[in-house]
Amino acid sequence: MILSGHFSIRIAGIMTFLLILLIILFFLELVLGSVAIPYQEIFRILTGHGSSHDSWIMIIYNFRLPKAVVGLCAGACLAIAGLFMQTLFRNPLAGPDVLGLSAGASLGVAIVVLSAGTAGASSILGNLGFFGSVGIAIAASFGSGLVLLMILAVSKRVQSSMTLLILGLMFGYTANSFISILMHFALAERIQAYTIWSFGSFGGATWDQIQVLVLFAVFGLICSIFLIKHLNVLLLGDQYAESMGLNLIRTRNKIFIITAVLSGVVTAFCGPIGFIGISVPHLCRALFATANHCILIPACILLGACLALTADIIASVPGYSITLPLNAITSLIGAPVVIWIIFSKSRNGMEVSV
Amino acid sequence: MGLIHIDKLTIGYKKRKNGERKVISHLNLDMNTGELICLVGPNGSGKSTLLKTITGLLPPLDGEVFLSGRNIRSISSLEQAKLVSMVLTNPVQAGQLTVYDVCSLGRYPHTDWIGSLAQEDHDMITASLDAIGIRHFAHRYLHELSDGERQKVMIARALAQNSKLIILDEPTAFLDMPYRIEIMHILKNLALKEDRGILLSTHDLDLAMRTADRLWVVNRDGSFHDGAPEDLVLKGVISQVFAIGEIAYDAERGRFHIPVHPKGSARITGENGKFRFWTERAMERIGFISQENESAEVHVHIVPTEKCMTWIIQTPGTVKHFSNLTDGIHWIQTLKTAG
Repeated sequence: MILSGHFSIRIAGIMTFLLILLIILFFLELVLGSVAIPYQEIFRILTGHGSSHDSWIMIIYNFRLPKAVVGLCAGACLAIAGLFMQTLFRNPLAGPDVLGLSAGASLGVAIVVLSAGTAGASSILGNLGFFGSVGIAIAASFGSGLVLLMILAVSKRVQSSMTLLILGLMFGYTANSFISILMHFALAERIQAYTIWSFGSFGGATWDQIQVLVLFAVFGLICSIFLIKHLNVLLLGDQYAESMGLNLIRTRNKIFIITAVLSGVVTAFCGPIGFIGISVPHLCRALFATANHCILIPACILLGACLALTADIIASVPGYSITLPLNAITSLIGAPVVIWIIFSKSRNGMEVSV
Repeated sequence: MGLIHIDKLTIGYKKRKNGERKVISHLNLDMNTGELICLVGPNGSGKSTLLKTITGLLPPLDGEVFLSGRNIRSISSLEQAKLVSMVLTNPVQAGQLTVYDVCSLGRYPHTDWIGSLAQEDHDMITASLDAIGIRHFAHRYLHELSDGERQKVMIARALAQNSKLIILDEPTAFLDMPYRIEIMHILKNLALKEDRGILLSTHDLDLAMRTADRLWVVNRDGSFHDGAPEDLVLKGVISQVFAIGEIAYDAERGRFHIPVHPKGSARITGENGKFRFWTERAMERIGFISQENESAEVHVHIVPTEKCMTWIIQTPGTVKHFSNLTDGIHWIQTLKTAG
């Protein structure tokens, strides 16, 4: 893929803008919150000079900074996972959840939360303690991992990617119906605990857990660089890709595994976060006017992180002590984007733009 | 050494319970560089099955396929992509990709792990765009193009893949007539000037017979014929394979005979050349076969007058002058139905 002169300048320009925007949003995430901390103090705390209030150091280090890091990683991972699914399935409405991975994760969490003993449930309820949130993360990873294994097993025997898309959706529906059954028989307080988890949140992770999240996120994002060439050739469809020497089943499985790592780890720590995965790849394609993954991958990382942080800033309602459910906010931002995509595409006479 | 060498090949599909559905058996074929071969045959005769087997998408039931001397069973898909490139029937639906981008994807088997393009790759892409004559819209987006233009882009991409053999599966199926002819012309030139081998399946028998060096004809009964188009007509292969009921291939005229209810004969005199040719066609269309005989029921005399051509149509008892065939033909038809 080639970029002519003015085109590459434009791309570099937007990319720089997104990077600056991300830095600003990251800092805003630290500044804004229920407790007002002057930004000079935040600089002092971040650079290790301490602060006049010990509680401010505590808030920044144990609450706002982890939240910002988790939000950044989650946004980037989900956007890349969504991009992969849209390219692989050649479907503009595909997202990280189409494989049924997040439904699998939700089922794992639902089994733990809804049917665990009272002690376990109450510790999960407040997201308190090491065992509670790690238990949830393990349950979620286990659930999405199981769905991944099923998909990989089927993938060997199925030639058409469309069939897999439908199978993934079916896995999702099946998992969701199990959750409904579990909820039907569960106690009200456990249902509430599960519902709170399903709202999604970037907060509540300890630094130990963040290390795990960052490790998986970085691993997944580095692996995605190795897929750029294959993803580009998949844009012409499975048959053309195969005729050019692409090993479809092997490449597809690599994409599934990386998607599972990226979206699985986010779902494990933050709950099922919707819409970022669908909307960010579309925004990036529109912004950069290209389908080249060489540009889309860094663009999705930056814009995904920006959107996730924006959503979290809005959800934490600066100046008030209340927080809104994160998923409600991502959907509030995401839904207009999807509507805009549908309208602009039908205006351009394009059926599918991936 | 040939581009394609097919040795005792049996193609078909494996059924679930150890059964086989053989489509064509014991096929021996050869194809060389510089050749344009059209694969023709009725629907469901096994054209796609043969192409799929040659490109390794479908394993042969028996026998071997060699591409440039190498058995396709023993080469990787990446190596095979350097030997053969493909163009498919369906136009590609891809947003935000320029023509140049699509062409550059053809370099996939040749580029490094991240797909970066060296100067050599850029040269190859530009040369491919030039060969198809689409370099002037290299920076337009694929979704802005018509189906015909898009198919040209896909052929340029196949060229950029730089394989000696290009296989096209009904590349002109969705295109209108001028594009069909243009694409065939482009392919013919590629075979001649670039010394590539072009194998394409098509339903456009007339165009195939006028362009291809050889035809491969597959019949529904699994028989296979290989030869120059003219030979196949003279041997009666074409009329045998493509006849369905009343519709038959007219070997005398080199076209399909469209059944009309015969109404009589017509004698056409006067002006020769294109006016005579199209008057004959018009009469044939309404069931009047042209003959020299005086006894014909309708006599059409074509005479040039000052302003335009005039058709003097004479039937037993009446004579009428017409300045075009539309009215003339209409008059004959009303006359016949009234009588």
